[in-house]
Amino acid sequence: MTNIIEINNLTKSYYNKRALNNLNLNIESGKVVGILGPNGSGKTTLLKILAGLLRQSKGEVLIDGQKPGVYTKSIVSYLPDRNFLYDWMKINDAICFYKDFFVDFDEDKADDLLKFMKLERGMKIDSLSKGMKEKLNLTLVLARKAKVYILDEPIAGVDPVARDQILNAIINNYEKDSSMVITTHLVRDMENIFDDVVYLSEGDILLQGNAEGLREERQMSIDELYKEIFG
Amino acid sequence: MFKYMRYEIKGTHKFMGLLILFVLGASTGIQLFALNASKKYNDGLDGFGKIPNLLMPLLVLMIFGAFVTALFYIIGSFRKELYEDRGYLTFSLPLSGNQILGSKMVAALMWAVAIGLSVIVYNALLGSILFGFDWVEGVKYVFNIIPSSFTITIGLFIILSSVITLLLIYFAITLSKVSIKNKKIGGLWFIIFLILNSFVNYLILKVSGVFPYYLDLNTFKITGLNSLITKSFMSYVDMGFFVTGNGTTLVNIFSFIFSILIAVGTFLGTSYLIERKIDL
Amino acid sequence: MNFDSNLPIYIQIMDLIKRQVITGDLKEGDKLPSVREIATQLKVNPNTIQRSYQELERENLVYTQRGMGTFVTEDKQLVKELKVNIAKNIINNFLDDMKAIGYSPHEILDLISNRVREGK
Repeated sequence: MTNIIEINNLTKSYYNKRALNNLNLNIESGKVVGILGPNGSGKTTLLKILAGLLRQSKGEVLIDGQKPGVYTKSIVSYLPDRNFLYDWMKINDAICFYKDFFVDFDEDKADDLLKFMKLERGMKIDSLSKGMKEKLNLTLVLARKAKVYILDEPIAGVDPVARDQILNAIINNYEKDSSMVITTHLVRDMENIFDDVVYLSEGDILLQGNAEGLREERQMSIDELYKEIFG
Repeated sequence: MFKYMRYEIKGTHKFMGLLILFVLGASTGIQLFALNASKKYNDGLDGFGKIPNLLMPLLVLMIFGAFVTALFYIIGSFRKELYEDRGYLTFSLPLSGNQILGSKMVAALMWAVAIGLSVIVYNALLGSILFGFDWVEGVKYVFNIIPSSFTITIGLFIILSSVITLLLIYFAITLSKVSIKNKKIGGLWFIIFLILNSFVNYLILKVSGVFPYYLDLNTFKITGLNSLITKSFMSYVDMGFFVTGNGTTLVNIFSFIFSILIAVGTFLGTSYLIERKIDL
Repeated sequence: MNFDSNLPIYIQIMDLIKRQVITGDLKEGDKLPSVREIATQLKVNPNTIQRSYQELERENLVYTQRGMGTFVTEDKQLVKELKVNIAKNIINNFLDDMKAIGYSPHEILDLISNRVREGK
């Protein structure tokens, strides 16, 4: 298996605070990796570095062999933990926008996902509810046939029905030859979709491994293990 | 890059459209007001023939106001890109810093031209209806009172200095974001801009002093300042990269080139910071 | 579906399918749902389902036809053996539990024969 993402000695510090502490992590292509940790553990920082929105203080990040930049942005589909679409847009504008900038964007897939999420092209983005925005953002991100998907807290703050829809959309649109990196603190809802998990705390990796292997070895679920580590 | 420019324009067209509409409305008001005033007080008429004296200063003031408003809006939307959530979309697009900055520059300049042109054309049109303003006369008049080399130089000067000003503002905003991640120091960029701007102007002036080689746009000959001074006793105005006096305008070759270098350097510097240094 | 926490999920899914086979919910030669269908239904990573299918194939309980899908084995003998194996497993677990709370094999036999005689 080839590593689509290689992270070597990655450190990110803000003034006196360290957000990431000498991190080493490889992500194989075709894998769904869960980055688990409480708020402030450095999950979002890590994803922002992968997405090319944040620069590391030390160390190296390679995505498909390249440092974060124009190329990696073209193969990474990133779902931030906030509503990032321009406020003047309608859903249709957002679809056109993605189509214009990402050659891997599949408009038919986007339409299928919109239908599945019960959204319509004519809706104005700033009048959508939080759950609908989350679903729209995920629609755009998943409608790309990207090599790497980076999803930051995709099910945080949405109701259980939307949560199910989002999980289904992720599973349905997951492609065998692409990788997903997903952060969450809602481990129980998501643990079954991870191949590998990484427990992150205050910028350090406390534990990482194959999800099934950990279940077998520790005789507990990924969620129980999370509670043991962080509880 | 053109795609991104299109979305730049799409994102700002509502505000700019309203601004233009507002300015045209205000022009109408001003013209009607001037028409009234000229009837009431039998106000003197200036070189255009039948245009009241009052009109021009009011219009110029309004255009200036419109430009300042547009500038603030453009600055505001650039700051939003760096400080608000929309930056998460913009900076995760597979675009280089050059492409992003270039699109923003072109869109901003395009709006400036759109505002300027629409105001001029509309007022000329309205003026021809209200005052019988003669287009051909008007254009002739402009070129008669101002020697064409002067017009060209002023034009160049305005374009170049607006580009540099805008770039310095972008640079200052980006630099303040890169150096201090805290949003609270909101005015920092303005201080950086003021310092940079005076420094750049000082340099341009300095360069023209060190290399006093001028191009005469009438004759396309390279001369020194002496020619201007000896030719007449009239004082001349030194604007850094051009000198004007006695109907002749000379462009300082070195500070002109230097200004262009400053523009290019600021552009590249800003797009480097955008691409490599910004932490959202 | 709720998974037992301390077992790998691919094994639990294998067990689920095995049960369906021996109860007849899935008959010999029946086509299994596609990996993606099960993945969506159970909200489990498709790779995990894939692994379950591979392991089942290794145990010869299912076979894959290229481009057609995965099917339950037509070998009735094998299904029978599977049933016996599962029964053995259940009994083994039961015996372990009973031993753990202090019953002798004899006592266990008595308890069971009484229970069976009483009927439901």
